Amino acid sequence: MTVSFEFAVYHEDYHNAGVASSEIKKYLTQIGLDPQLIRRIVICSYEAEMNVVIHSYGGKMVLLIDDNEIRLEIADKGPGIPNIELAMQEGYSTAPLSARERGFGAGMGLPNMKKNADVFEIASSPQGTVVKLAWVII
Amino acid sequence: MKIKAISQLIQGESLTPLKENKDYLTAFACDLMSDCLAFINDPNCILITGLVNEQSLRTAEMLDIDCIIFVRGKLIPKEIIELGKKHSLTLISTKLTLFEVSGILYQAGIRPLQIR
Repeated sequence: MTVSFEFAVYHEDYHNAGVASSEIKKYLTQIGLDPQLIRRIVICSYEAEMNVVIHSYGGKMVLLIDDNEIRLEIADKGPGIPNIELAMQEGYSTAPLSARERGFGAGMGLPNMKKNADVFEIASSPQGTVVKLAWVII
Repeated sequence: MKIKAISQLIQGESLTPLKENKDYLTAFACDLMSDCLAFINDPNCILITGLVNEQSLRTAEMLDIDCIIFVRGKLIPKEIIELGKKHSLTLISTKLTLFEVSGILYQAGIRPLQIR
């Protein structure tokens, strides 16, 4: 059986940025997942949530849990990443001052997600960016 | 090192209840939350930061960190303290700078994280 949760994330809603990841963490803790795995998942989830808040026109995060795997899909409404290769480099950032003032926009988000996920896929166009992450439950 | 001793050394003001029996061995001083997410690998680590907002608390929450020291005498809004209480975080405020707090704690035996 697959359990799924969906969270809406809004552009520049810094006040609520992290609430979805907090809910995800709460649920994964409740179902008794390994704390190390939870940590890797929520690091990705929080980075992704912040990316949607900072860079996109808004979007959603979908968490899917089955017996063997956890998947997290983040899809936004654009404007897209012009150069994914550059965006994947540690330290490269196009974040505005508003994000930097809140401790983000250091160019670590996507590399951090890639490091902490078992599966990392990203696709982007001006219509939106989709990041698909997955972790195997051992 | 116990948090009460740490707080005294840095002339700290406790904003939420202290976890008096917990020992802290390491600290990470940083205003960049993405770097915290990338490098903090020990949940028993203290986060020392000048960044006072929801994001510093959320970052701590994601990393299972339960103690934040806010430096440079920043005004800590009531909502931040309430959010800290909600997540059982120990929040301490000090007028000292990030450099001073780091130096004092290092001298007292708190060690950096091995990040690579």
